[in-house]
Amino acid sequence: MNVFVKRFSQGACVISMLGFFLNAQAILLFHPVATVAVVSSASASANASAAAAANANAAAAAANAAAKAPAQAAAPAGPPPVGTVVTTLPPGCATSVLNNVEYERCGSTYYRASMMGSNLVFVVAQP
Amino acid sequence: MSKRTTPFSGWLLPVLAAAAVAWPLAGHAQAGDVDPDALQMLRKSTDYLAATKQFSVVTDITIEAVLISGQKLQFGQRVVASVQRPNKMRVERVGELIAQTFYYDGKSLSLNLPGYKYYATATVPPTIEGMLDAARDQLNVIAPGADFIYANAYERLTDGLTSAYIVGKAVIGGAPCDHIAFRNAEVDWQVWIQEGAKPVPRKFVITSKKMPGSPQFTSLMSNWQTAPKLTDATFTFAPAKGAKKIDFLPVAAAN
Repeated sequence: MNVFVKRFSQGACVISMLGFFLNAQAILLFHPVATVAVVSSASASANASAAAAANANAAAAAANAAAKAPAQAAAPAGPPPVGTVVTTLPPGCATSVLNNVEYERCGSTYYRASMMGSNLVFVVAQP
Repeated sequence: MSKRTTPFSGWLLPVLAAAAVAWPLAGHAQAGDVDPDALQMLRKSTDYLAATKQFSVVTDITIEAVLISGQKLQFGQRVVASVQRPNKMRVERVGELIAQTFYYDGKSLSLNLPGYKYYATATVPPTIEGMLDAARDQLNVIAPGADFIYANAYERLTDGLTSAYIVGKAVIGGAPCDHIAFRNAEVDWQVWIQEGAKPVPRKFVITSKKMPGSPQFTSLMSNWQTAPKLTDATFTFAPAKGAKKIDFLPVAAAN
């Protein structure tokens, strides 16, 4: 998991595969060497519903659109907006508890660990 | 069309063409028939599993992902599942992109990520079938190969079939098996069922034919145990000291 960074655009959290559940949906995988976008992934269910397929098509379109942007666009210089979902934290984070809620503080950005399906993700939060 | 030829293309294509012509089942499959003998063979396996009160199986899974470049990547996982009907299940998964254990004790579902010291828990229905549905619909969590775990697996698998036929005899993991192929609107799938008194599935392949690049999900099942030593502790999750509970993101946010 540490080799790959899945990154999702804000508000379009495309849940995905490679977790416990791999329905036919798309995700983006950002590799440290080359940016690669997954357009489709195998369904693990033989009775995949039409709804799931439609969702996968929309997700694939989003993945394609995102992949057209330069790789640098995936890692903007400024802090990521609240709601951004990543699967790997940037380096140098520390646990921080504010108002009884635990965050991972990475520089000036706070993340909350969550499960998106069966994938561990970190969501940018505003404490 | 590339003009480049490989040493194989000269003879391989005629051989494949001949095989297609000589294979009596090829025309059968194209006609979209649903062969009752193929359904009967599947039913024998699903009925056997539904009647098996507890079992464990080791599954080696290969997941394909198609990159935007068209390149295909495969990711492997080993999944060890233990099931006790009607309301207990444990699945350990380790692989290239995952290391987690799933517990279902009849009341709640827990996902433990020991490598991160995180876990998540949700209250779910009191049967395996209800739990699998709730996990999929409310948490977006699906157990791989769950198709065969449902007590009504036969009805679920055969819903919407457009083709079913017996391909022939095969040997999977050293075991003689019957190879059956199925199609529905979204996926083509194949199953290899062990011959004899213990008709368990030994291989399961799903082709997502509507997806770009038609990725496949492949599952090889071995070490079927129908009288495993399972106790309540097998299915009960107890967080490790210092482990942190995290929440499942609502599925609405995931769409």
